Amino acid sequence: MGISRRNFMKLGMAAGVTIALNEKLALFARAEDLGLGGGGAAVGEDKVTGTKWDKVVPYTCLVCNIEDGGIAFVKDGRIRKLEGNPKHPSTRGRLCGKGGAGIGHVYDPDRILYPLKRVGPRGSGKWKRISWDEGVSEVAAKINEVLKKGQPNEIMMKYGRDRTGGATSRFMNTLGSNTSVNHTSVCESSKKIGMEPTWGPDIESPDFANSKYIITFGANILEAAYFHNPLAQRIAEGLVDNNAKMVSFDVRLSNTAGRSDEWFPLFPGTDGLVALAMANVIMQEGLEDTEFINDWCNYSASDLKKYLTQYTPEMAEKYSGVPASDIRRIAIEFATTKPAVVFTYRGPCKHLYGSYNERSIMLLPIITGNIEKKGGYCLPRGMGWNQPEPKPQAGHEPSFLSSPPDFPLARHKVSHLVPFWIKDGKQKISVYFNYMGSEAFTFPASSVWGEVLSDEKLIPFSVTFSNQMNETTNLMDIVLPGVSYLERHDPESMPNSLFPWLGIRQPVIKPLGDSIEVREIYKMIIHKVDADGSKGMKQYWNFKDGEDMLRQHFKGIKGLDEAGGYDFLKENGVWPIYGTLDPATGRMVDKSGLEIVAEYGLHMKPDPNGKVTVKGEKRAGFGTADGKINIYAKGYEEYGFNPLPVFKAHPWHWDEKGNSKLKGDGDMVLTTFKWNIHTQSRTQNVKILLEIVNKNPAWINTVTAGKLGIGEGDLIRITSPVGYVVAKAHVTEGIHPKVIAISNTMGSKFGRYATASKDGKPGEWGSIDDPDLKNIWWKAEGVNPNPIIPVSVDPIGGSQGWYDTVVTVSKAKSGDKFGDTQVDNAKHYAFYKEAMDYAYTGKNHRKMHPEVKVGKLPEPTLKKGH
Amino acid sequence: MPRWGMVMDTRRCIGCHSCTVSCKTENEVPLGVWRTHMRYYEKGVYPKVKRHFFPVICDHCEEPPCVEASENNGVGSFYKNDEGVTLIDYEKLKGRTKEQIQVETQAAIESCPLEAVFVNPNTGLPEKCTFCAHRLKEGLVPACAQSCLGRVRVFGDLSDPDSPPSKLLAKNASRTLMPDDDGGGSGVYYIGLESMLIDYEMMEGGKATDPQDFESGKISQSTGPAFMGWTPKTKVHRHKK
Repeated sequence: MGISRRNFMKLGMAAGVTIALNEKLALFARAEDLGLGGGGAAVGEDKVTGTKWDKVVPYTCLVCNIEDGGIAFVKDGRIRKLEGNPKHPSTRGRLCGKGGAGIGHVYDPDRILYPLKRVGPRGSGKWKRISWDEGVSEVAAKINEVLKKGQPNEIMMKYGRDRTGGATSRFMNTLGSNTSVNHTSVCESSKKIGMEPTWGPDIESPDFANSKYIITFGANILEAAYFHNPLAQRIAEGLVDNNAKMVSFDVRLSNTAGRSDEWFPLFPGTDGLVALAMANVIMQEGLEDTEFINDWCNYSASDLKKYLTQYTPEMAEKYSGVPASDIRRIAIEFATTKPAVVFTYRGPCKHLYGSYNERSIMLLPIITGNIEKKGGYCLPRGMGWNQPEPKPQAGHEPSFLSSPPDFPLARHKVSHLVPFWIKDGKQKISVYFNYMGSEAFTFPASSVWGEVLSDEKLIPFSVTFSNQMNETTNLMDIVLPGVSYLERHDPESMPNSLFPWLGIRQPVIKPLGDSIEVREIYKMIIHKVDADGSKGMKQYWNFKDGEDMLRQHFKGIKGLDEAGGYDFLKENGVWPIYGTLDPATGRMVDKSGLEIVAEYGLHMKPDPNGKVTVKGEKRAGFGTADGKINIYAKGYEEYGFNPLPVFKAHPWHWDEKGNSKLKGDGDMVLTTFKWNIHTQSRTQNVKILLEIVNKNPAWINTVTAGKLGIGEGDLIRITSPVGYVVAKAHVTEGIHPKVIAISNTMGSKFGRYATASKDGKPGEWGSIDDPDLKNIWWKAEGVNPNPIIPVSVDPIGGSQGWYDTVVTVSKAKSGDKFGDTQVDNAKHYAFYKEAMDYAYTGKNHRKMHPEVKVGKLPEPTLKKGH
Repeated sequence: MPRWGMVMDTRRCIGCHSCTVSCKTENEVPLGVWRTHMRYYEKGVYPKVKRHFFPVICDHCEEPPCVEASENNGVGSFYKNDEGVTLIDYEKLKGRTKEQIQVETQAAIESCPLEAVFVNPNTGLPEKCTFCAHRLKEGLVPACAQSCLGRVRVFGDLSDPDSPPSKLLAKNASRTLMPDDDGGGSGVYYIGLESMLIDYEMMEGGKATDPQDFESGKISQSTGPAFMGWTPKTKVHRHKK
């Protein structure tokens, strides 16, 4: 191989790659090429051993949803190490902690490795093993009962993290059902509905590495959010290599806020107001980019300046608590430091009227002309793929649960009201599918999901493709286990850097046990449903296997075809390959050793079909109907919402005069958060992650705790209007005095790692035991806050108001035990009713919008399209 | 001969745990013990609060106390190779009784102020960071340096003035953790500790972390056992040109 130390030294430090002699810069040798690296104890100088790998396979990560490129190292048929793919322009060879620990998903000793059927009452935890044929046959028979009635919408698919790239929607379309319900309303749906009418896409691509001024609002990008790994890498570059200043507005000292140059705690839900006040200051000071606003926005700079005068820094201080002088100072710093960028994923949108918060904050990069600038707030760059022909059409009948008529603007659905609508009989369900989501654990009013999924009258038959026994799987009738992300095929892309890419998932090892990847399970079901072919369904499921389907996905993509098509992706994991990873700097460089440069100013590109003429030329513009940035959203106005960004004080928190309703020392707002080690439910049995974080205490401000007589580690009761939980207190300076925060990533009662059961009985569903179980050293101290969080809905974007719940905090009562949870589902039902009152069809709508003059509002109509 | 070393540029650290995880998987370290630690420190009074992230690793000191301790209390299984890496020669422990190994291991553990040595619960043998010697052999950097999101851990030949760590040390003030180093003998150097330490009394011998802090969750996340009352007195490093 001829690798000499001297050459290694000359070219600089090998950051995970070996520089071989005589190789062009474009063809860095990689550890995997050499089949080297890996574990082993150092035995002696000449006796240092390492592992020679059997194979190294590129893949795309799915521990969370950032979709980093990875490479997996296999020895003796076992995945031993995961590293970032050095060819990936976003990932640049590095995986975050969660990604590196993903091996724990594959070898989870409590993983489900064969089909199960329940043999006791729902939720009793009694299962028997069945064959795939038995399971698929029973599912197909239930489906056919429904299809015979001519009511395909009674088949429901409740999915969470669906990254099949089209297989799940193909499955539902084949069956003719439109009752597909995602989870986006408990994620960032109101951010999307804030952004999409404004400039087209549903997310921004902040160019942190080249920025000089970064403001985050409720955005913990150094731990989570879209896109944690690639963007955190670039924030480190921006802060240290580019001397950028970072400012964070957050109710809690997240790692992002903790690392920032300045942290401004603020009262929940007031981020938008602070941004409006900052925008006001910027325009009062004449610091806006008038030319950009007038060229590109559908609202003039002078009108906007007039409109914003109502949002004074003093008003913002009154609600948020951020001093007016700081609001002024930061606004001026932001406007006078170029380039500058803001980021909001995803605190501000998770409130009642969260869509307004998002649009308010968007004003900042817009009015300062930082859009599509190097170091600024850029459009996302993604790539797509084809769907194999023939494609099934969508079902005929609209589904109430999927396209709720009372929320016509919430095109990403309102999934968290679904169990209430089912209880109310809005739509009959006969067959319930669950895929990659644990709604009975992760959703607000999770106890109501538990109630509905347990009810055989409401949900006569249920099936899950989960391979984890958890709070939701435990309530199903049949388990047809899918595989981990390292054992399956998927097409992938994600706008997680300024370089668009296509990637894949491919089996690093064959699926363990008797588990099968979900696109093949869908195919088996369809072939059983339409065994005699009379339904004409099999034509949509004619692929041989997962790889065959992927080849069909990637055929006909310009550039990729020429590079070698799917075979290129199989070998490299990603396309295009923009450069090589420079081991000395961690940046991607071209053949001359310079860092690859992204394209900017996409909206300015000349386009003969462009709808916007700027500087005498038609330009590509933005993804809106008129090609402009719509500060004025006509679509909002149609339903009586304010077309301009506006602040609405939450009636739970503020009276009409703007006085706080949280009068008692123990009255505060409950918020939840993710940290860098866990996702909302799937990581609780990934052992390496669990030993880092295995408790989720309730963060409470030192002064507040003092007033309530609460000390570090004390048991406390957190009482919301629907119930209470007993948690442990973490007393800290790092949280707003009127906020209590619990991470929503712990508390599952399933799995030996999650429950720290060293001596628990062996894995029940086929998994091989893990000798590391005996090394469990932690106590399971997780509590799930979701049962006591009531539903609330942003009537525009559909978002759950995750961070609005008013609670009372007190020392625990005598007899309280850690983790005690009491909840009254009838009270949850009352909150559902209240949520409907805020919809545009509800009784609160007009009085929440006295400033909007609208005639008659459109009638709610059940139609396809959400 | 290279002299391997690592610079920790803590200005870039975000406490993401990519390093602790990649070390665990690379070296198949069992649960409960770590070859590298990530410490969190919160300081300040509301609303002026900051959180600092402090990655710790075996310093591969020039005069390792663990080597001396293992020589004086056993067969000297701990040794320093001629590239500056402190390793354990398990061949030397073959034929030793369990008690003899325990005595030597405990002495090594207690000798290290960074708590870099531990007992592997599966093998019963002493273990510590090896700078991923098995990777160095092949021209790869340690796993932690390879995976670090922020590019905090910069590894290379400290005897080569053109290596990335040497270049960083030439341009930036740095500190070492081992109090007795005269600035030339540690394998690990820290940049950016000043903002973390100076205001917060750690330089003057104040408690870096109370062992209770780890147990009670006062520090939101950490890996590894609490430093038993150890104070990371650091020393300014004067880079030799």
